[in-house]
Amino acid sequence: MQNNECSYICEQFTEYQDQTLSMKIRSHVDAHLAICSSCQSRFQELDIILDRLHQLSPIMASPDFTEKLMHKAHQQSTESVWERFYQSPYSRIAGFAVAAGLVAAIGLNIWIEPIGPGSSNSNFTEKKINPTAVYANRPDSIGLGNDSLQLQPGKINSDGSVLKLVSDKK
Amino acid sequence: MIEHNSMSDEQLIAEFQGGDERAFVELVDRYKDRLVNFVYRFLNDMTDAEDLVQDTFLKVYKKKHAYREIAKFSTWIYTIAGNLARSELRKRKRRKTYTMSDLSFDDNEFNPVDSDKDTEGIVFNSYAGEEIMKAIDALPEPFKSITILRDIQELSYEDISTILDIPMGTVKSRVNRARLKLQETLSYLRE
Ligand SMILES: [Zn+2]
Repeated sequence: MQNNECSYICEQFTEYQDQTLSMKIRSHVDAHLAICSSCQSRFQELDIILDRLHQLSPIMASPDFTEKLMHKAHQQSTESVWERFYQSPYSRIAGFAVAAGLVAAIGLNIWIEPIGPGSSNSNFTEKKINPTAVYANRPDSIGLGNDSLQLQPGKINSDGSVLKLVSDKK
Repeated sequence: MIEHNSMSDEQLIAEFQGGDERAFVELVDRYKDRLVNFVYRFLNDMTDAEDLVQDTFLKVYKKKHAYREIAKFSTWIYTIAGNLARSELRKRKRRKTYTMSDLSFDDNEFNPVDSDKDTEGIVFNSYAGEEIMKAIDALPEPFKSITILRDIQELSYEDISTILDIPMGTVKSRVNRARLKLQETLSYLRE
């Protein structure tokens, strides 16, 4: 007959099977099972169900599982480098820096071009002069005597010359 | 230098955190079958199970520094896989209406089967794997997770307690209730 006592006994099944019940409760369960065929059957059924669960055929991952996974992992890590860059505040700063750099480069180019060689607007022409002459013409503005400041022509320019902008305007 | 295959899981994840990808591959080889087996019991679909386990490992790969050696690596990865599997199940439930209302269970109460039906000499002779799988599939949460972890994967109560984040006493009582519910579900097979 099923009653509260049977419910209580069924609740002990797992610990009974694991043998973790106290001696007192275990004896109580044993005594009940000896006289209750219903609980006895249920315990037997549960044993069989557990056996079947343990025997379920194992499922294996497919043979190319690791290969596929590593491919995805490498793909994602490459993507995430760019994602991280695009999402980071540094990407904006970098964007501004590049834009500012471009503007500066264009501006500088506009400013430099008029004074470059061949420019019709140029007030300056490029002349190669003898370094010794530079030295000789150099104003002693830093207050040193000519003897203490020795310029070596070879150290000024690789071909031994000095590029000097000389005003054409007289 | 210690070979990867003789390292513990925790040593391997530490190596991987230090940048050694071969340590990660060793962990994948150790856990892929167990996890596919585990997730398959939830989803009952091999392709979905493999995809989900791949996602689990990808999470580990991307968030390797999230692991702290306060838990075992096994419980950490089972937790990730279990959470993904449960969330996939929730998505599926939203997608289709289950006609399993007649299989609903109450967590708080176990009603023993009627003694009249409980004829003598009941033997579950022919439990095919498929019938058991259907019965597990019909189990409501949290009983489904607990059955898979304890009775199929045979994890310890302690590990299950960490994975499901519930006290050990609750694990034990739920294991028992889950078994009794499974028995009820399978009662139609009684000879
Ligand atoms: Zn009884």
